[in-house]
Amino acid sequence: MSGFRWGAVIVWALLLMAGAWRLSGLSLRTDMTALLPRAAEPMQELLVAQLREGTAARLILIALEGATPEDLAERSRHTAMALRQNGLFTFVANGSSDEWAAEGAFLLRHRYRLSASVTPERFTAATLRASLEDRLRRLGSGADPLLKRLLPSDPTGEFEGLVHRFLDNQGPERRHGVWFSRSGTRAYLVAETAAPGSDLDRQAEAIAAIRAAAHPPGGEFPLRLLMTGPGVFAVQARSEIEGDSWRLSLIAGTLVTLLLATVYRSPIPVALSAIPVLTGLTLGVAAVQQVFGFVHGVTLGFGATLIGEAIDYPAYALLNARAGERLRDTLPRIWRTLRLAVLTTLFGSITLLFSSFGGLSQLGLLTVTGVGAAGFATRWVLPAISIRPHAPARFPRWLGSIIRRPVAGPLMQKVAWLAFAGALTLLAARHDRIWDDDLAHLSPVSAEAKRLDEDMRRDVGAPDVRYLLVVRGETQEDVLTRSEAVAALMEGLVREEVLSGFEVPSHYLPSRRTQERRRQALPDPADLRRALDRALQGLPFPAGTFEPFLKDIQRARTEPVLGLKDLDQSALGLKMRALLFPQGQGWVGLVPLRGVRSAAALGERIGAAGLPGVRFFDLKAEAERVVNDYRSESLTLTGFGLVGITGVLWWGLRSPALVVRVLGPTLMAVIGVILALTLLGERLTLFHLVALLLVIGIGVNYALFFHHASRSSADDEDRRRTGGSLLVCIAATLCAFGTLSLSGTPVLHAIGLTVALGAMFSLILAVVLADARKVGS
Amino acid sequence: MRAMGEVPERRDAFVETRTISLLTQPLTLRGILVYRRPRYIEKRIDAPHTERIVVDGDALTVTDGRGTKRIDIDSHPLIRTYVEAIRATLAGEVAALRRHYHVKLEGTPTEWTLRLRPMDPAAADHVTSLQVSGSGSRIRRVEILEPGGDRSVMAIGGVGP
Repeated sequence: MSGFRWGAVIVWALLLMAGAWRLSGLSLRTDMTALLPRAAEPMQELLVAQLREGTAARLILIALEGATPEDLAERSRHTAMALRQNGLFTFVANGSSDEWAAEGAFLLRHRYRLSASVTPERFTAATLRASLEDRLRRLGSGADPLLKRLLPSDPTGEFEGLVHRFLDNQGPERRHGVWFSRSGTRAYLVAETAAPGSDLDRQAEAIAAIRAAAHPPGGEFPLRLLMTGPGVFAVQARSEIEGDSWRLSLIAGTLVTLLLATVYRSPIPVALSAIPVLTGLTLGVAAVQQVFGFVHGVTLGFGATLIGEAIDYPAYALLNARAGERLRDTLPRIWRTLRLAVLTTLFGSITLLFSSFGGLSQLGLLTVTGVGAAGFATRWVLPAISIRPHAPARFPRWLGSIIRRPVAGPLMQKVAWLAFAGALTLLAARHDRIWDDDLAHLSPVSAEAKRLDEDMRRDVGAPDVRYLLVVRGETQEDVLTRSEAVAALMEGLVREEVLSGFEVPSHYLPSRRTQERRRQALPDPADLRRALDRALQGLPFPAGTFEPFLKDIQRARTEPVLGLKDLDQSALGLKMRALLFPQGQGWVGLVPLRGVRSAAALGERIGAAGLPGVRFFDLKAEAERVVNDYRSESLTLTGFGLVGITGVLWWGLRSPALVVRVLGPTLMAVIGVILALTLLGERLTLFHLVALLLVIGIGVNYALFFHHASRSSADDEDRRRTGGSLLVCIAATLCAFGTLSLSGTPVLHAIGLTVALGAMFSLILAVVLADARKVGS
Repeated sequence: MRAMGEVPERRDAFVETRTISLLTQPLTLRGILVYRRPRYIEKRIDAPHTERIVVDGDALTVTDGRGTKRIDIDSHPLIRTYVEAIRATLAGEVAALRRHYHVKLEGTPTEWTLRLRPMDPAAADHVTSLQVSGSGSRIRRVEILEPGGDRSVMAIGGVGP
């Protein structure tokens, strides 16, 4: 027996070392999309990929405020220039024309391929004449400084048209040459990171670069820097969750330690209590890292719930020890009950392992491994290393009498049942307001940050994060041809003010057919020269002024069509790769939309146009659907978990009546928690649901311990000890989860509040209802 | 100069001659210049084409045959330099002039010349210097030199109401 005992300790030590080694390579992720599944449906996969690394997920909106407009404009220029040079961004815009330096060269060079106004009529003598007269007029008014420079090579204004399309039709007001808010107090920049939105380390690097670039050296003037965007949120959330987790764990840990120290009045039992918790946490998190390759911040938050569960085991064992009894004698005596407590939690969570929602299966694995390990440590490691008996904790006499003759009389039970019936009715009446379908609410972004994001997005006219058009086709050419049809449709919708702007891949790379058509529209040199000479008659341009134009047209006639790789000469290449990419067997083109005024009208018109391969997405609605699916799945899994718990209880208690007695108060407590949360104005998310599963685990523990103490063979001293251990357990749970409920991170707050309320309700109901059944039986 | 600040509104015909190296002959524009204290200035071109450029505070609008366009005044250094020079001169705001230009005032109160060179390098890319001359509270002539030799001379008043 002694050999076996030490064997258990050695196994434990080895496992703990392996776990600790795994934890040293811990990779923590906090973006919500990491929890989403690899879906089977290609459209859903595309959606998830977009949420994770699409253009919208890579945009950072930057605002500078708190200085004079002149200083802000100066900083805006400086910041944009610095950011364009460091290679972390594919695109930085601040409204000034500098940003088109590289792109501008590309647009100028390929203007006869890219400009939609290139048609044969464009180069007839009459049209040329009209263009030239127009330009002459504008030279006179002097309103256009670039005109003089560009006129000799581009008298038909193709480049100007392209720049106009790319630059002038988007973005907010310009003051001092850069983007400003309407009020003139904020200068705006938009940066697109090279790294995907889900690569938080590189997002953090990009954010640090922005910070370094925006702040004036030596602080010449005060300046406030605001940033927003999915990457910014994710990085912020990561540091907040990390900070919150550490801070709250520390507070909760201190409170629980103080509590245990007060009860045991000796350091050794306190240290022993920590062993199952630490074992469970280490092995649980290590198992998740091993299986999934990363640990999500939310999963780690649930690590706290493990503490709540695992702290109960040693407390129960230590506090039930009789005077002078060693743990190795106590444990076999109470093991039947303790084993049931461990197994119910284990079977309750095992179903989560099968969830397709990555977050839930991580939680399942963490709980199953953690609780299993904590149970193992309590049963076999604690007795082996604690050789001498501990001074038993002393509890007041009234604790025993409460259990023998609970203060709760029949009146209290009636009140409890009435309250339960009332809760059910209320919940039924509000059933449509119980669930929260917004994926964003699962994310730890504060409401204030979201508002700032909306404001800035509206001001800047950044692509809508919610609506997206997707164009699919078998080949790249298919997608480009279709996206040209989309562009034609959308231009009409912009004129009708259904939306304020859009971007299509074919803006940057027209289809081969269109490029070919434009090339054929270019006249041969002799014809063009003749037409130009006729057009110039009587106009005050010296001979030879437009030689560069003739040369450029000639070159455009002989150049091959543009391909994707030609765009790589400028930042447009990277931009294009986000808009046009192969997927599966075919190609996908994305059409980001700006300033959508009526999604319904937009969806309807796109549907009515009947363009093949084109689909309009409301990402928010799609995400809600995904969340909904997961919730139904989680509910089913929770149901199975409940079946598992019932099975284990039946096996352990061998009496249906006892199962009802143990499970009944817990389930009623769960209903009570749901009602309480609803009344507090909380909408239930997946995390509440999982926390409720934990409430069942903890509640069943209480009911089991309580049942154990109220059995007829127990003496008054036993009852008093059980009553005491229950009090310690609930106090520890309240310490841990009460602290968690104070967290500003929605997920941690949800778990904390749910479990704290649930534990309290479970205990009250276990005490109140136990007597009723005893009287009845 | 100070006398100028006291004029509440002013309306003058102008003739502007622009000499551009890109063209074989100068362009001549005729129209009316309207100024209203303190921040409104309008340049109405009547011939050879019609166009209206209005600066009201920070807002610049250009109205031509194709409609009205609102332009950010600061992203057009040429217009900005030009408009600010005339506006500040008309308003008698020497301080405002000194913010944007190296200023040199010559002559007597009855016959004066104001020489301005833009400080902003972006503006200096487009405008080498401005020379505004007048008599008493009237501006008579504005001459703008651009890099590359292009130049514009605007004669104000004395050409009808």
